[in-house]
Amino acid sequence: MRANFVVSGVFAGIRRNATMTIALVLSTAIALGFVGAAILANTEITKFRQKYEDKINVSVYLCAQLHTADPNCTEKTTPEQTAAIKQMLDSDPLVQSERYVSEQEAFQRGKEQLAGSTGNFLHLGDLPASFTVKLKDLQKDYAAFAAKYAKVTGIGRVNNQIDTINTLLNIIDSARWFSIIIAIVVLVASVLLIANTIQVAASQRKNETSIMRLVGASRWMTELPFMLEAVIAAAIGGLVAIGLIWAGKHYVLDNIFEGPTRHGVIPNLSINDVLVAGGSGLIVGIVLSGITAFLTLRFYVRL
Amino acid sequence: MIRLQNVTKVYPAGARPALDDVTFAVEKGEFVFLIGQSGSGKTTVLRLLLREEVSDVGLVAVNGRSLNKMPRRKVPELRRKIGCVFQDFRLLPKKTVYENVAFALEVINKSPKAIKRTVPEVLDLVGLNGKAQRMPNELSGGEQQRVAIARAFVNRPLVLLADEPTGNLDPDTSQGIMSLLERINRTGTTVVMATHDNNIVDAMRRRVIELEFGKIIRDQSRGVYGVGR
Ligand SMILES: Nc1ncnc2c1ncn2[C@@H]1O[C@H](COP(=O)(O)OP(=O)(O)O)[C@@H](O)[C@H]1O
Ligand SMILES: [Mg+2]
Repeated sequence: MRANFVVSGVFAGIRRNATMTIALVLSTAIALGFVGAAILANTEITKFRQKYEDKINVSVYLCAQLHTADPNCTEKTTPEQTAAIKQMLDSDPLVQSERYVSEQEAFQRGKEQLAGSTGNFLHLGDLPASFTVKLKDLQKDYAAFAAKYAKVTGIGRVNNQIDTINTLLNIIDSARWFSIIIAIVVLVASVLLIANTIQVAASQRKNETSIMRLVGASRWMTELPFMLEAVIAAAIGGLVAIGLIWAGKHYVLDNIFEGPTRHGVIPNLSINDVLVAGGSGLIVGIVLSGITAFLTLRFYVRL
Repeated sequence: MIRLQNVTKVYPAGARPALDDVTFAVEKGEFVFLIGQSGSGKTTVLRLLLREEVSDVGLVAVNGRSLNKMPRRKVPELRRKIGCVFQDFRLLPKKTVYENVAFALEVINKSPKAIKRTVPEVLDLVGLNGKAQRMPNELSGGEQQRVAIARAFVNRPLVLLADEPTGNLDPDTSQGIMSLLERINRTGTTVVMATHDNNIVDAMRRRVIELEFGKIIRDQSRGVYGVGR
C-alpha cells in the first residue's frame, strides 16, 4: 500500500469534513474521558481496598491511666485483666487473629500522627493499650462482637473503621457507575456520529470511489481512507480525553480531597494511573471507531 | 477474449429481460461495435463484462475466466484487465489531467516511479502532453474524453470497453476519438464500443453486433449501421 497516497487522501477527507470531524473528536473525547474516569474510579477502589484491607479490623481499647468520661473505665486495666481479655479473644470463634498494642506503641503512633508541636503534649500513658482484632467476618459479626466485649471489665470501648471506609467506598463507587453510564451514552452517540460521518463522506466522494472500483482498486484501498479518518478522529479524541482526565484529577479531585489524600486517608492517584486510564480509553476509542467504520462500510455504504 | 453464451439478464425492476439469450464471442485484438436503439441492452452487456451485474442465465467469460461464479474479491483483478470509458467522461473535477490519469495507477498500488514513467507516455499517446496540468473544466469535451481514454488505457488493459464515448461530442471531435480508439486497438487491445452513431459505424467498417429489445438481430463483420432496415 502506497502510504503517502492513502495518507494524503485521508487528510483531504478530514479537511473536507472539518465540522463533522470536530464534532466527532469532541464527542469521542467526552465519551473516552468518562471511560477513563470509570477506569480511574476503579483503580481508586482497588487501591482503597488494598490499603485498608489489613486496617479493616477492630480495636479493643483498654483503659488508660488518664481518666476519661468513659463509664467503663474507672481505673487502669491491670495486667491480669489484660491477660484474661487476651485469653477470651484467643478462644473466641469469631476472631481470626489479634495483636496486642502496648501503651508504648500507642504513644509512638500517636506522636507520628500528631506531627509537629501538638505531639509534644502527648505523654506515654495518655493513650490506652489495645488489642487489634481481625474478625473472620467483620461485616456480619461486628455488632455481636462489640456488644459482647464492651461489657468486659478492663475494656474501654470497641471501635472499628468500617463505616467511614464504606461511606468513602460508596462515594467512589457511585462516581464509577455515574462515569460508566455517561460513558456508555456518549459512546453510543459517538458510534452513531462515526457511522453518519462515514455515510456523508462516502456520498461526497462517490465519484472518486466509483472510479476506484472501476479501475480495479481493492476493497481495502477504497475503504481504508474512511476507516482511517474515523480512527484518527477517535485517536485525537482519546488524546484530548487524557488531557481532560488529567485536568479533572488535578483541578477537581486533588482540590476536593486535598486533606484526606495528604494525610494518606485516601490513596493518591498517580499520573501513571491517569495515563493508564486515559490510554485504555484511547485504545477503546481506536478499536470502537475502527469496528464502527468497518461495519458501516460493509453494511450501510457498500462502496 | 470475451464470450457470452445464452445470456439472459432481467433487472429486478424490469418487466422484460434487458438481454434475452445473447450469444457472441470476441477474439483478442478485435474491434466490435455494439449498436441498437436506446434501451436495447448495450450498456447491460458492458456492465456484465465488468461484473457490475451478473447474468441470470448463461455464461459470461473474459480472458478465459467465467464471471458468473467469480468471488467478489477477484473482481478488482478482473477490472485491472479492462479499461472503460463513458459518454460523460467521469473525470475527477478537482484533479489535474495528470492526476486523473495517475489516480488510476495509485489506487492499484503502482509504484510512484512506474506512475511517473507511464502517465506522460499515455498522455502523449492521446495527444494531451501539453495539457497535463490543466483542470478538466479547462478542456473541451473531446479533450476530456481523451483524458478518460488515457486513464482507461494507462494500465494497458486487455480489453477497452467504451459506452457511447462520442455521445456528447460533435462529429469532427468524434472522428478524433475514433482514430484514437483505432490506434489503441492496433496495439492489440480488444475494443468493444457501444454506440448509436451511424456515421461512425459506417465509416469504420468493423464488426457490428446489433441488439433489439435485448436480442441479437445482427452480427456482421465489416458492417454498417443501417443494413437490414
Ligand atoms: N438498473 C436497472 N434497473 C432496471 N432496469 C434497467 C436498469 N438498467 C437498464 N435497465 C433496462 O434494461 C434495458 C436495457 O438497458 P441498457 O442496457 O441500458 O440499454 P442501452 O444501453 O442499449 O440503452 C432497458 O429497458 C432499461 O430500461
Ligand atoms: Mg446505454
